[in-house]
Amino acid sequence: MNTEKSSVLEKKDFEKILEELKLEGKKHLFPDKLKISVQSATCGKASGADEIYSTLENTLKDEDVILERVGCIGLCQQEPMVNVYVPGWKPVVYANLTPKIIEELAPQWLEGKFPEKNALGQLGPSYLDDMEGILKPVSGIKRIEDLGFFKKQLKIVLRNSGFINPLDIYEYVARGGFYSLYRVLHEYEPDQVIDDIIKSGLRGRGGGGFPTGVKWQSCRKAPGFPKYVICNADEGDPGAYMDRATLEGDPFGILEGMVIGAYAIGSNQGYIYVRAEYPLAVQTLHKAIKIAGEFGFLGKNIMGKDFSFDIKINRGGGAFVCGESTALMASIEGKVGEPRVKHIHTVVSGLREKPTVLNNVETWANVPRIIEMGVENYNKIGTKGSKGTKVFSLVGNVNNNGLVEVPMGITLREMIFNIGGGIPENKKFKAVQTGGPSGGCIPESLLDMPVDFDELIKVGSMMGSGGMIVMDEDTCMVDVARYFLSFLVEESCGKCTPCREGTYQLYKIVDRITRGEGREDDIELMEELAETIKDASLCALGKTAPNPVLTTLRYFKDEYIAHIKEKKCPAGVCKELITYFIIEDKCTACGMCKKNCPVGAIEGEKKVPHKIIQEKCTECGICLSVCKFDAVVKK
Amino acid sequence: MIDVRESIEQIISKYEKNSESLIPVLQDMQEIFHYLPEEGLRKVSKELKVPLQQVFSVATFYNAFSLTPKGKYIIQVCMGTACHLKGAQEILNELCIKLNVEEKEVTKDGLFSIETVRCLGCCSLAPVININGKTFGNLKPEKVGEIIDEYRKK
Amino acid sequence: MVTIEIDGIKTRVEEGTTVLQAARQIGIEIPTLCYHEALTRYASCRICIVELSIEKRGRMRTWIDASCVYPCQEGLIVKTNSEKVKKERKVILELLLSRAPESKILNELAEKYGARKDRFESVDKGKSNCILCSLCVRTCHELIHADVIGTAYRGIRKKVLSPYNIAQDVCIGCTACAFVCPTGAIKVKLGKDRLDIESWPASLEIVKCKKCGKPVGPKVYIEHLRKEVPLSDEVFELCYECRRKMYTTTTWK
Repeated sequence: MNTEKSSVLEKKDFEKILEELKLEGKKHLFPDKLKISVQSATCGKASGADEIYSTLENTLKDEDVILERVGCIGLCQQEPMVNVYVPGWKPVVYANLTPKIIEELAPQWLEGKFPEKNALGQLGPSYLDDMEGILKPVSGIKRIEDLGFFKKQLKIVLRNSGFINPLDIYEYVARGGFYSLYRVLHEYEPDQVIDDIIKSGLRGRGGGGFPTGVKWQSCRKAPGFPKYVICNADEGDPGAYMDRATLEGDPFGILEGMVIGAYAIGSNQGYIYVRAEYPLAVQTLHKAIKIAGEFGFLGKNIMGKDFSFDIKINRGGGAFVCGESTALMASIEGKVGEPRVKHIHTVVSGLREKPTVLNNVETWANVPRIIEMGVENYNKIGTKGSKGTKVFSLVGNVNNNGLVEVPMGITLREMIFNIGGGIPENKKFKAVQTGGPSGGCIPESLLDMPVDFDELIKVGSMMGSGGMIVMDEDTCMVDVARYFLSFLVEESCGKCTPCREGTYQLYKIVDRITRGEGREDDIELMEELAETIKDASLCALGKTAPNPVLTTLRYFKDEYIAHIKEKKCPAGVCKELITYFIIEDKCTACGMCKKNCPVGAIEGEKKVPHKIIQEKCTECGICLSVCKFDAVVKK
Repeated sequence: MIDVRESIEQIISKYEKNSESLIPVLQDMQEIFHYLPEEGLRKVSKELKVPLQQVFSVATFYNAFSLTPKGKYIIQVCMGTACHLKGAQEILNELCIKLNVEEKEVTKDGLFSIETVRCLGCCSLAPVININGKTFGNLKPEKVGEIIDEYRKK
Repeated sequence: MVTIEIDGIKTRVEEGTTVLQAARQIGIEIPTLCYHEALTRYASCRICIVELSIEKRGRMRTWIDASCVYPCQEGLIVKTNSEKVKKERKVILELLLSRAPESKILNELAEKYGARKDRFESVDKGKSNCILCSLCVRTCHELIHADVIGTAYRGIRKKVLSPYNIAQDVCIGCTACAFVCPTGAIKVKLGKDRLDIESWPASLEIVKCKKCGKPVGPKVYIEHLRKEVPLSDEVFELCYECRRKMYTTTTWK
């Protein structure tokens, strides 16, 4: 491997270098022997990908087979998964694997067979590029692109995740990687790059939705040196993990984007700020940066041109507020993550008071792809105000849990019922939460709205970083508001009065309501507090902190009223407001509930219908889950 | 026993001696000692020329740092939205009962400490816990006991 | 120079002047708590909020912001006492009172804005009387350079303290922190032999007057001054009264 690389780099002509890397990369992607790729991103590992990997190692130890780890293709719920490539045939993805199933299937793969058992689908044109027409389709197995989960997706940012070996730079180049950087450095002036990004309509994917090109332009024009480029990988919204998958599955894509951005604004130093809770992503990035440097795509005189750019990695310290740009910069400077006043724009005075461009992981990952496909083609995707695609983490009470990338403008109904496969156990849809703690809950009546930056704001929510949490009929919306408020109270930096004190007081009120201690004037009080917190807080965390309460009040006011006036929780969630009963007629006195009750709150002898002692009952719900006769009910 | 002074000197020597290195130095210290000892903070203050009050400010602002020792096995319970909807609170309660500790406390034998985190990014496998880097998903309160026993055996 | 309008009054100010400064220049008072001319801006108490409007691309943009930091720009329209500002200032006062119910200035402002003292109860039930304005911390760091105190923890649990009680070792007893505190949360007790700054805590030995035995000042402070300021001995060894007597008898011989 080493000798090939150095002989390749000796040729100063980077166009030739890229071609050679591409050819080599194709051989890695489609080798002349069996190759099994184990999807080993953090969610894969949590599902057992490591055991799958070691089982394969054992089973195939005497065979001439390639075994590697890749990122994830997004259908996290069905992990662990592997991609099986038999030379000449389209790769097939196998899912829901166990070591036992592997031992059964692996010998068949060795023989070049593709059993239907556990087969999810075979990869098609969105992954195979020009090999689509050359590799033979496997009969009896569906195409991945035709499956309900994948059909409406359009993978731009996630095109490589789960397919290429994330640290194999040859494979990255084989799929078109670093060609955009080559074109930019050799054919574009910095202003032309900015012009293209403005025309593309790319808007920040981290939550703000600010036009990326305009941001770059302001920074380029700002006086001062040096200038900095930052990648915000502090993905803090609970329920959102799109950036993690991209960092672990296709790190070179982010690096390429950052180099292009640095060239455009005139920066030579970049930073990637990664959450401490993403150790695998941090490791992967360190390796990717080293490799990219060795191949001349980072560091001094990139691709032989008179442009140098280095990237350092900073780890977060476990503070959600550090996802806010000025708090993030303070953290890089070694300070507490307290935001600064916002009227001083970071593009003019940011990190170390120098002009800085800060963009989200997904925003950076889009940049090389926009250059590659051209602005006109990118404009064809999405809506008028929201161009391109967005990666969402579709999680919660939905059948197909995972990461999806869709063109902007797709409706929420399509996302949840089409791609998501609907609500499990045939329960009713209640709400979908977007935008994390800064966002809001959208009810059923708005399911046909398009996913679009401005449309989401109109209904009181926001795009946010892309968390999309589906909630079914058994969700209490007051409890959801309480949950988000408790999160914000915990994460507030504590600098300004409205956020520090106000959000805490708002939380106390909602908490009281969930415990059946709501008062007549609570809703009015919450609205008064919410207005002040929204207007007077120093930063976006504070300003959007009241959103969970405001949107649930807007669309689910009846639930608040039920909690306050009737002291009832219609969804049956708030423990102080629900009671468990045993229906005498249905009880067979089997004793299961009594045996499993952790606090001994059920009494009853053999053949006598059992009863719950209400004073002892902690409403844990175990009795209901173990009763086989539906005799336990919750009211 | 790790020699605190020597280890701290080794850590600091890896970085530039200025205030910007504060957080990475503290992160390394936290990883090696499992907490930030007073002696460590004083030495960092001296070497990086950052006032001790500021070092303490940073050390107590970020969740990643603790001023008291954590357990050998740090159990992080994810309290993300998806996990919350799928019963993360029950998992947390079960852990506290089984280990007879409160959140952020260490068990008497020094083996386990429990803390909540704000989303590990494995939402499709909710509810999720992480023990020293290993993630366990699709948890039920009953399974929790088994996992604890596995670690006790080690 | 830029032209702005405050409460209907047009005025010209130097570009970059804050709204607060511009208002004061024309005699309009805006309440402040965490602001001090001699210290860096923190903009955290938010009591100085005002309603701002400016025309951008043909549209009027209106928002609330802190006047102690917002810079004046051409065409800025400021309302320091609109209904919205009064309403929100009242809520902020109520939140601050939950932290410092005994504070004189907060109670005075509360009366002016109709704020209720007991509307909210904060985490420490108002025992500390501290509103986390950080004037004490900024003073000790930026002006005194003693770095005795700092903020610790975050969010609702944030507090001001002296870590590992270094106050006992590094505090020079200047009591500037107590002087600058808007709510009187920092308690200082001057005893016969010692100066006690109870909040950190620090207990400092007092130098007593050579003539009459009354307190001159904390020993560490006197020694600090002795090094920094070239004055004759009696300034550091005699109390104010004895020094005066000495000067008057010596000069008017």
